[in-house]
Amino acid sequence: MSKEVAIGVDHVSKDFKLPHEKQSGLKQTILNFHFGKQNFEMQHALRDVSFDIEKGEFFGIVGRNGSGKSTLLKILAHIYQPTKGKVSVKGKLVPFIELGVGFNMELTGRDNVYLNGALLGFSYKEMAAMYDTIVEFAELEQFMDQKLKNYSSGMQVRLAFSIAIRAQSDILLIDEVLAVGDANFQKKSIEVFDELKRAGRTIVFVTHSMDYVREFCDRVAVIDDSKLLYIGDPEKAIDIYNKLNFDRDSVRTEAENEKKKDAVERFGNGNARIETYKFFDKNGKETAKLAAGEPFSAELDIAFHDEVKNPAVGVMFRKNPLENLFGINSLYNGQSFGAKHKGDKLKIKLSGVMPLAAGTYLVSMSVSDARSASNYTELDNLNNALKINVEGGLAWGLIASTAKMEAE
Amino acid sequence: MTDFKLRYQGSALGYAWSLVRPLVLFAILLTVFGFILKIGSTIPHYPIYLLIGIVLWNFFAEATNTGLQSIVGRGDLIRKLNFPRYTIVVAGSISAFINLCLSLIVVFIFLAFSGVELRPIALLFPILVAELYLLALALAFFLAALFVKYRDITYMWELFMQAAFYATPIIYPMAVVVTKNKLIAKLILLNPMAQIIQDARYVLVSPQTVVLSDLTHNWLLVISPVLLVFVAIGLATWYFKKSSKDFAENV
Repeated sequence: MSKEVAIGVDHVSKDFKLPHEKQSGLKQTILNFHFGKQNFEMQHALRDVSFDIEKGEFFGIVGRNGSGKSTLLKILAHIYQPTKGKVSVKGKLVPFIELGVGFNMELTGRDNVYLNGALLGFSYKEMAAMYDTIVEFAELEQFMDQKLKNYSSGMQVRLAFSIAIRAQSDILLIDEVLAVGDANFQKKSIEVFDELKRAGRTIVFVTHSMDYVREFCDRVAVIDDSKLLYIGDPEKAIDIYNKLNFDRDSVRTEAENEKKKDAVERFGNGNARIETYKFFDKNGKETAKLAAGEPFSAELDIAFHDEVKNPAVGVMFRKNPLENLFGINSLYNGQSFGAKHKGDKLKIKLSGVMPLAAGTYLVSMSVSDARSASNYTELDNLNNALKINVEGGLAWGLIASTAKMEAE
Repeated sequence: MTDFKLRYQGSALGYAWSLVRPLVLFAILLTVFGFILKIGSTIPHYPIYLLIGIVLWNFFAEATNTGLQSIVGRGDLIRKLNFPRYTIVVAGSISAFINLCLSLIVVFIFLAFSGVELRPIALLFPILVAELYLLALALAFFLAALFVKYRDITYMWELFMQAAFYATPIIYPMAVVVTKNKLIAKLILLNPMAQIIQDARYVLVSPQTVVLSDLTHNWLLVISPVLLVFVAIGLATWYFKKSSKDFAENV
């Protein structure tokens, strides 16, 4: 048995013309026309997106900032026209892109409820029928005859949210508006979501909160880079969404490392120099992205430019420039690489299991001429030179613990 | 039509002020042109002539100016809600229309005291007001849509209105122009605003007022200002409808 479709999205694309410079004058237009210049860039906000939302579904849309999900929501609400494709909506649709749009501070709460209703396309009669439940839900019975400017901002948001929730629409579009009101009101909002769900209202919900997705959504669409990446099971969608965010982190880290290579903060007398440093994952692939609890390795190439009696090499992982997490040092390990002369090279290989939990960390490397742990000369110290991303693992906190739990 | 609630924006005091403005302008122009330059001395009831012209012109100026700003000024709503865009423009013109009605009450009070005898033809006056409203609304639609795309329209319109104020027989009597150059007089009266103001004076004050049918017997020419209004409203609604689809992203 096929279900009824509430919103059908059929091969929808949306392009925006982005002017290169602020060009909204007649002169510019005429000049550009005259010289046949196209002074804008096409930005593809959505590319060929198709899906159906069934009646009674609690449908989530997630995606990173700038992925196109808000554009999609505005197209669903018929605020934007799609460049290509078609959106068909069955039933009365009420969008809440932002709470309290169209509120007028000079009017009373009562007038604002009716005004807002009018803007959403409800007649005076329809609003009159809904009015009591709206006010009751907002818990603002005593305040409705006061001007809105005398409301606290929390009260205004409560009123707006109540209109959104209590308006008798078939389909509700909600964009990121849940974190409103005090704890009590939030709890009530969550209950109402449950209630709406049971009442069979179709709800389209754009959010960054995976908790809400997990709790309410029947199906979830993941939008990334203007395209529909995944649609279906919420748990799977959450997984994909988290991966997307992680990937972006690691891409950024790599870019930063690349940029930093030439501008690493380093000090020491220069009698030795760490020429290159590389980190590898368990498969031997060079990367700045390591897995928690998995083997990893690193290589340091050191060149000596003068006589060094007892070179000592150290690597330190930090959470931030001030907080040491773990390190290894040849001197503390009692290792000796022998005296080095001008022109000598030394390749250090380091390997182990990544003990840190998922997160971003700083790595410092140094080589020194050591007489003892407290008496040494710094030859080359790359301070916080590298950013490492660690992913995976189940632990909270900083350490990827291997501790187990069992019932006895 | 539930969306007209937008008009609530004006306060009661605002209406009172909107009456003061045309009356002050009226007093100034009457002093300068009526008593010092004696322009109106050839015209019976010049003050009431002047007042009718100013009140009708003021409505036209207010309706087109608020219309011009209406869509851009409500950009926050446009970007976040989907409701018929024309309601904003219409709501703006309605608040100007309410001002016009209040001003017209003042006009009729003056009429009663000035000793002008109202003739049955005065019943045609509401039709002229309707024509004026349509003309203003057409321009409001057109300008509002244009302003979303071209932000210097507002300056151009300001200049245009300044020039148009003097191109329309508001201060000076038409009869003076007719004695100087008949062709220019004809051209002036082809402008719907001039036609509306002169016709209003004709039906309310005196049949001696120069109207287009005094200058030409070509009936097509005589009705052309009215035709112009209908063409304008047709074109304006078409253009507004076409461009309103993209208001949300351009505004």
